[in-house]
Amino acid sequence: MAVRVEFENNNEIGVFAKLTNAYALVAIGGSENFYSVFEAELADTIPVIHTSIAGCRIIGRMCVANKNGILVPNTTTDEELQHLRNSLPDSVKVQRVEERLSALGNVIVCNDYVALVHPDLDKETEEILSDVLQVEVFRQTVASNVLVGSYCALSNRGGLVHPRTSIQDQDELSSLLQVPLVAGTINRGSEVIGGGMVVNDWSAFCGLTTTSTEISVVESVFKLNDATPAAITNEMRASLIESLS
Amino acid sequence: MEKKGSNIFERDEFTAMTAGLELAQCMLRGKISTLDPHTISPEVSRQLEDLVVADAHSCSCCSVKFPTPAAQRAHFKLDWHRYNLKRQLAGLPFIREEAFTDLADKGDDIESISGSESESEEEGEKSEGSEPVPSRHARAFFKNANGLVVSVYRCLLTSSKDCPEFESLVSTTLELPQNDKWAIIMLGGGHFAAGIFKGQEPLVHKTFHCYTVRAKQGGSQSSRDSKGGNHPKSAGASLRRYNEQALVQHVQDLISTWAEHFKTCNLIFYRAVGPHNRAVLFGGKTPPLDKTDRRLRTIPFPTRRATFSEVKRVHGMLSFMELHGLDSEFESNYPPALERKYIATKEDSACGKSSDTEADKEVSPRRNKNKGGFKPNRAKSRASPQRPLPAALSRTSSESETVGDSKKSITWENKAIDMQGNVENFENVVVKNQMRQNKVSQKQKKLKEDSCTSTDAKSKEEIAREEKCKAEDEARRKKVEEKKARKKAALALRKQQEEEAEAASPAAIFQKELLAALDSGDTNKLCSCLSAEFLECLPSELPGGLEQFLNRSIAEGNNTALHIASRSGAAGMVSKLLMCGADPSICNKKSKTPFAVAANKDVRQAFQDFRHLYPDKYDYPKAEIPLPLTEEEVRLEEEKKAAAKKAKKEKEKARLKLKAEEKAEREEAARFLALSDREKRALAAEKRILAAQRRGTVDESQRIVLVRCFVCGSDISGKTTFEYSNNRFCTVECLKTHRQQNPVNL
Repeated sequence: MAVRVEFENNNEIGVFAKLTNAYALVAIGGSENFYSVFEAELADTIPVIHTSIAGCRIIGRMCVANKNGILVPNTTTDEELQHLRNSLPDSVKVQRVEERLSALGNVIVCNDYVALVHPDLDKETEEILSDVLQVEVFRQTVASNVLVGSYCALSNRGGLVHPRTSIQDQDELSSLLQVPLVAGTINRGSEVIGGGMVVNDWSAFCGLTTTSTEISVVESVFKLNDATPAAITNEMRASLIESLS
Repeated sequence: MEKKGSNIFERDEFTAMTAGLELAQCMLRGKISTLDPHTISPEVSRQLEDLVVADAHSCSCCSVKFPTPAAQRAHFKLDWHRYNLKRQLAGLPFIREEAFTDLADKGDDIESISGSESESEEEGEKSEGSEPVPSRHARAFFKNANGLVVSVYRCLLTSSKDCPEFESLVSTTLELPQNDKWAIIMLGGGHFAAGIFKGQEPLVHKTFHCYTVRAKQGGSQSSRDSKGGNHPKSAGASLRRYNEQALVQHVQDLISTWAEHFKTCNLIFYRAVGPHNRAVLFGGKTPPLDKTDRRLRTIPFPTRRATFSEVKRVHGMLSFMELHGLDSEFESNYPPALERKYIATKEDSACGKSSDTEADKEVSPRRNKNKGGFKPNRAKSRASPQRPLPAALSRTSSESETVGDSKKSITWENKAIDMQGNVENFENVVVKNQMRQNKVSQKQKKLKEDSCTSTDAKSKEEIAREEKCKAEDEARRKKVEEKKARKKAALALRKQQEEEAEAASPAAIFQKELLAALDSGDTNKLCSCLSAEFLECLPSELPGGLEQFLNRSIAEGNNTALHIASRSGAAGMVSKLLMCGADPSICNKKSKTPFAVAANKDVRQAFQDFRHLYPDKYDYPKAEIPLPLTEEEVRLEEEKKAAAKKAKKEKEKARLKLKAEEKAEREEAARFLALSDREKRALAAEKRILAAQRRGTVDESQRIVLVRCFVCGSDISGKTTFEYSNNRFCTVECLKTHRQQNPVNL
């Protein structure tokens, strides 16, 4: 289900939060309300962790994460790294990377299997990315924008891309990422999809100004309507049984 | 070719030009179709209906197709793909794999492939930025029914604060001739010009100048002052400082007087560069113009000094609708202002600016001659030469002057102007002008010298004339002096006569008598003077009666008779005068009442007694005369005085006593100091014993007597004693008796 939420009167949820299938990170803000919304929605399935990265609240733009691991920029302090290691599940690897493009969330978008990265990203970062997050890395742009992380939201079940992405590009990206893609907007017409929302396989959070149309697109493309962790496992079980039989 | 078009206020041409008006194609080029967050586009809804993973195994960037998904995935990790991606972002075409491998082999672009470096990015930005966006041009372009492109300044249609709405542009343009009341305000360098136009006619206009900017230096005084450091205190600086304030005041006054006009204006254009100029229009507690006014527009082209003719030119340029020719031609040539330069060529040599071209012609053959030979003195200020305006400026200036003039033509040229050559040209012009000026000044000098030599011949004549003048002056002065003397004599005579007449008057006689009486200090004389008999003796009645005369000031310092009497200390005279009606509340020149100038207690008592007797006759508070004391009060006063005296006496007694004690102490100390060390020690020991005894036993009777007087036997322990032949005595008297009893036998 897609939830509308607001961070201190700001609708850019993707900036202040990071959501994966194994955990959620939220920024340390003035109000606990933002945190409570995530807690209410997610707490019985995954841990919701309060943190800052490199002393900033824009954690969603600073780090890149999936259920396997999390990459943080080298400006992250030791205390923050320790806090993340302590709070995250043991299976999640935490890695600090030396990368010139330090806002990793803006230059990388990934789900649990694939990642799109900025064409200028370091080779070493690419290697670390594939090792830690266990993803296949592709260098591509979204609607001629190099900031793929800003203009794209991706889960294992679907993806929302910049509204100006051509159909051909969408098709190419879709076949590359092996998820269905739709071009759309968030937060009442904002093109900055990655900055405007966070999504995992069964829930999404977007800004308070998001229209119902946008919500409905989000819910259909990310298949959130029937999506609960249990439903997903049921589906998987069904397909497993089908393939076994 | 001169710019074609017409003024928008010329109805016929305007309607002809705007028939079937629509936005030009170039305006729509940079337009972004608006995103509607409330509706789903049909494409998206189709996609949403069947969400499937697409099966497009291709790369549009490198324009290759792949047989398998695996090949596609492999391709997106290649350097070739990445290189093409960056080329695409830079707006360059893709290259084929073979070409790329060649490049990689050469090693030219290896760096740009493997690392993340920024050069290519910058390149990309540049090419993107230089791409002209017609939707951001200063003019808005339209196409009319005849397929011709026309344009008007965009600022006429939308405010920069508004979001550009393409749909409303056409309708706003068609309404322009109706919204024809415009205000133009220009402000800069202390010059102010403003005009309000109705159509092409100026309704009101005003131009003025205040000296606020230092000539040839620039910069307003307030900006110099705000830089910190010391404020210049020169006359010029304070003048500019004052004028800045005056300018603001003038502008605000003017705009407030035009308030009615401003209210009805459809558009307000202004040119006010810099914070100081803007503050004149938008600053202060009650700003003349509202910053948020939707009608406010800035002038979208360069302007010259604020004058009324410049205001008219600006109005002409703003209201000019330009005709750009056929749509198809225009499209290929677009944008005119950014890529091409106008160079004005003049076919008409009879035009007013022919001197410029002549100057150019003149200069060109001289260029070689001047090279290296003459160098301008840069320390001296030179006259600024009359230079032809730069191509762009001369174009703008000519636009308004010759709207209908088609003789001049403007040609398109894609040529770069050779700056070097031009600059040299101008330098030579300066030098030449300076040389010419030097020649002129030399000529003038010569002329001056000539005039000097001719003066000698004239001198004799002049001397004679001077002497004559002097003589005339002398005669005139004498006359004036004589006249003055005569006048003086006449005045003196008149005065004397007046005095005589006055002396004969009763007032004068009476005053004389009164003063004499007061001076004598004799009360009886005064009584006789004030008596009715004496008054009757006077040749005529006193003017205003006796009372009024008494209250007149009769002596210098505005003193009245009462003042004089009071000061002389004659209590009887004071009483008499008061009885006769002399007002004690009249003050003299020093604001003193008669009571205040009283010489002694008797006089004061006389005043007080009078008040007691006649409590309502005069204004006593004003006369500062206190009420006389009652018997009780007098007694209390006396008692108080006696007590004070007693206290004083006691105080004196105490003081004397203290003095005596101090004296005794001093003597004692002196005696002690005179003692030998042994005696001092003995004394100290005695005192210690006594002190110990006092601490130990409170009982006075148990005191130990250590030493007694040799003669009288009184207790002298602990005191400094008198000693004689090893005997101690309490006082000198005892010692004396002892000596008398035992005379020394020498």
